[in-house]
Amino acid sequence: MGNRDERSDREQMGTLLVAGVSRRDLMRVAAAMAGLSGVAVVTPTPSAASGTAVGQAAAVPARQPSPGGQMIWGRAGDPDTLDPHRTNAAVASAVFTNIFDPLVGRTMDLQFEGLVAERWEISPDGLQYTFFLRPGLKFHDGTDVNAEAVKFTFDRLIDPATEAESVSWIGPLDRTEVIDPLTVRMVLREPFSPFLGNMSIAGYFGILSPTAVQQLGDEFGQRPVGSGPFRFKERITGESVTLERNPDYQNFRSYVTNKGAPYLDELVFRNIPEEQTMVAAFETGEINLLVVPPRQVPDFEANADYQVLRFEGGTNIQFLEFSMLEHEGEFGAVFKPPFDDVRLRQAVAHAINADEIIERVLEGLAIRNYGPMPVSNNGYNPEIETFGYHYDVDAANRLLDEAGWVRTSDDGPRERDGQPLRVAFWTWVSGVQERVAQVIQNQLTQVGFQVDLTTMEVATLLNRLGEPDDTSNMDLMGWGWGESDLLYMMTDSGSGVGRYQPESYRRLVTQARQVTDLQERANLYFEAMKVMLADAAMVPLWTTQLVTGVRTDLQDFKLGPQGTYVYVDAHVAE
Amino acid sequence: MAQLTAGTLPELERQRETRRQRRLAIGRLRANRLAVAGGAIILALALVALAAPLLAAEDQDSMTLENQFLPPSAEHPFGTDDFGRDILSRVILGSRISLQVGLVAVGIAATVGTVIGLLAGYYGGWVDTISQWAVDVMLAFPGLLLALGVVAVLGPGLLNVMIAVGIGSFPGYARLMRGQVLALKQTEYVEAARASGATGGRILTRHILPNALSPLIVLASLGVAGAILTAAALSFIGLGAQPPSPEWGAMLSSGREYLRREWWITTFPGAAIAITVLAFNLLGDGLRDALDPRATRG
Repeated sequence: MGNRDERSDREQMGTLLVAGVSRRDLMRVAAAMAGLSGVAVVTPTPSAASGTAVGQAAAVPARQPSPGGQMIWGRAGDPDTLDPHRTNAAVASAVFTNIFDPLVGRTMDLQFEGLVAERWEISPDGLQYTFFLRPGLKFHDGTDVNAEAVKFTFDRLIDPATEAESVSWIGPLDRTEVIDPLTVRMVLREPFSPFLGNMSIAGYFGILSPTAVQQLGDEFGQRPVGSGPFRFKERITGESVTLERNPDYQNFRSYVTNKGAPYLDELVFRNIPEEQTMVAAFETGEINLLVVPPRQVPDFEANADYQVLRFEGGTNIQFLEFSMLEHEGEFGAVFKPPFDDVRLRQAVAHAINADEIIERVLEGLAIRNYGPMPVSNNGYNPEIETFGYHYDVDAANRLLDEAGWVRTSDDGPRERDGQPLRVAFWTWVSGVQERVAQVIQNQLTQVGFQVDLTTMEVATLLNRLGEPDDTSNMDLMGWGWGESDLLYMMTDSGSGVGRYQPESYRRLVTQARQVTDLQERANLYFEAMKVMLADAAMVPLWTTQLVTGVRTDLQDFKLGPQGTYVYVDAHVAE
Repeated sequence: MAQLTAGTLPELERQRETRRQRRLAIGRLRANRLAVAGGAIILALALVALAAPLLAAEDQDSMTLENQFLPPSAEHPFGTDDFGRDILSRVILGSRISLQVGLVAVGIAATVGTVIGLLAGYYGGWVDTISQWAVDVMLAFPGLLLALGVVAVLGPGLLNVMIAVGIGSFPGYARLMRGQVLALKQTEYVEAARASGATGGRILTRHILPNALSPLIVLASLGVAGAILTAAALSFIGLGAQPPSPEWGAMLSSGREYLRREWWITTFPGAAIAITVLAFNLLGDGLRDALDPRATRG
C-alpha cells in the first residue's frame, strides 16, 4: 500500500463546515456546530470503534437484509449547492459524501485504503503520486470512471476560475497527468505530508462525472453526478434533499459488511432548524436519525426504541480567541487593546472554568483540551496540559493587578487610568454556543471584566470578524479538521488567531507540512503549541463529542472510521 | 367688561363640563372591576420594579452552576434555570426592564405621534399631506416588521428595541391625534380663543391638546402592552436584550430548549409577560369605556 506515514491522522472535517458562507475561515466554526465532528478513537476493530449502541439487536442477521426503507436525517440547514468544489458547507458535504467517492479512503484503524484507486505509489521525493484506478467503475450517468475523469476533477478543482475553497487543502498540487486510461499521476510543487490525509476526506475530493459537469455547467450543483453508493434524486429548496440507491454500486470499504448496493431505497436530509421540533419529529418517527442535543442524551439512552451511538473523541477544538489587528509591524503589538498585554490574555485563560462548563453545560460531552490540537488528531499529546492554563481565579486576579487594572469598587469592573476593563465578546446564535458564552461572560465578570456579549447569525459573525467594523475584543470559536495541518490552517485566516503569525510559530507549522515522519511531525506541533500557549494567543477549551440517535426500526446504521455516518449496511428491521 | 364675559363664558362652561366628565369617568372606571384589577396589577408591578434590587434574592450576575435545573421549592419558588440562577429573582429584575421598555417606547411613539398629529390636523395643507402620506406608508407595515427593520439598522440591544418599537408605533398616535384636532378645531371654545387672538401654539397646547388626551391615554395604555410584547418578541429572537439581562422574552427564549422537562424556566417569565400585558389591556379597555362619553352605560 501507499504512504502509511499518516495512518493515525484522522480526517473528517468537511462535514463540519457551516452552510452558505464562502470565506475560508468558515470551516472554523465547524466543530461547534452540531455537525459531524466525532471521530472514533484509535481502536483496532470496527465494533469497538463504533461506540455503544444501546438497544441494538445483538445478533447480526445471517441472511441478506431485504432492500427497502428510508433513512431520514433531521438536521438544521439546507445546502445551496451540492457541488463539492463550490461549497464548504457542512450540510452540503454530509450529503455529497454519499454521491462522490474519492480515490482513497480510510480503514477503521485509520490507514489509507483504495476506493476509486485500487493502489497508489509515491515517489521517494514525495512529489509524485501515481494512482492505479479500479477497472469497470461507472458514474451514475453510466459513463466510465477513468483517468480522464480524475484529471478533469482535479483540474477543475485547482482552476482559479472554480474558486474552490478546498484547493488549499491539497496544498501544492501542480498538475494531474493521464498515464493510461486507468493510471493517473499527480505532481506536487513541494512535498506536502497532509496530501493523502486531506484528500481522503470523502466528498470534497470525490471524482465528478466530466460528462455531467460539461452538460450541466453551473447546474451541476443542483443535480450532482458521481460514482458513490447513492445517487441524487431530488431536492426541495429549503426543505430536503433526497438520494436514492445506486443499484450498480460496488463497495470496497473494508469496514462495511455490504459490498454491493445499499439496502435503503432512499436517504433523505431534512431541514429542521428548531432543536425541539427535531426531537419531536424523531419521537413520532417522521425522521429516524439525528444528532442528539446534550440535554436529551439520558432520555434517549433510556428509550428502548432508540439506538444511541456515541464517540469517544473528536477532531475539533473549541476555543476563545482574541481579536487581532492587521499585522503590520512587530508581532506583539497586534492584539487589539486591552488584550495587547499578554497578562490580560493569561488572566482570561485562568479565569475560565472549562471543566465546570463541560460538566454543567455540555453534559460531559466534551474532552478538556489544554492545547489547540483536537483530541483525535495525530500530534495530540495530553502532556500539553503542563503548558496550558488551569482554572485559577487567584492567578487571574494577580495578573490583572500586575497589569495595572485595579478594583475600585465592589461590584463594578476593574479600572486603569479611569477606564473600565470592558470588552466586547462575540459568538454565533446557537443554543449550546450561547450558553457556553454566557458562563464565560459570568466567569470573567467574577475577576473584574465587564463583558458585553453579542450573538449573531454565524454567517454574519464570520463576515464581520476581522473586518473594519469588527468591534469585538474576543470571540468564542471552533475549528474542525482531522488533519494535524489544522495548526497551520487556523493561523492562516483573516481574523482572530488566524492573524497569529509570529516567526517562531510559523516556522514550526510550515516545517511540519513537509515532514512525513509521524513522530517528527507530532514533535513539531508540540513545540508550536508551546509557543502559542506561552503567548496565550487563544484559550483552548475542549474537543466536543457528538451523540447520534437512530430509531430501532432501522438496523445496522454505523459510525465509520472518521466518525462519518455509514448508511450502506443500514436496513429496515425485520 | 362685556367683551371679557363673552370671551370666558364658553371657557368656564367647558371647564365645568370637563370636571363633570372627569368625575363621571373616574366613577365609571372604578365601577369596572376588570379595569380596577388591571390597574392594581400594574401598581403592584410598578412597586416591584421600583424595589426590585431589594426584593430579588440574587443579582443578575450571580450564576451557580451546581444549582442548575432545580424545580420550584421553598428556597427557589420559581425554580432555577440552566445556569443555576433563581428565576424568581430574574422575573423580579425583569419587571424593571419590561416596564421601562413599555413606557419609553410608548413615550417615544406618543410624543412623536402627537406632535405630528397636532400640526397636521391644525395647520392642514402641505404639512398634513406630507405627514399623512408618511403615516400611511408606515401603517402599511406591521409594527413588528417595522421594529425588526429598525433593529436591523441600529443593531441589537434594549435601547434600540425601545427606539424601534417607538418608531414602529407612532403612526397610530399621529393618526388619532390628527382626527381629534380636526374635530376640536370646529368647537366653539377654540373659535373663541382664536377670535380673542390666541396664537396657534397656545391654542394647540392649552385648548386642543388637553381635550384630545382621553383617546390618547387609552391608546397609550394599550400601547404599553403591545410594546412589552414586541420587545419580548425581539428579545426572544435575539435582537433585544442581550445576556445576562433578565428580560422576560430573552428568558423565554433561552428556556425553550428545556420546555419538555424543566417547564418552570419558561413558565414563569411567560406568565409574567402574559399577566403584565393583560393588566395593561384591561386598564386600557376600562379607560376607553370610562373616557368615551358615548359609551356611558345605563
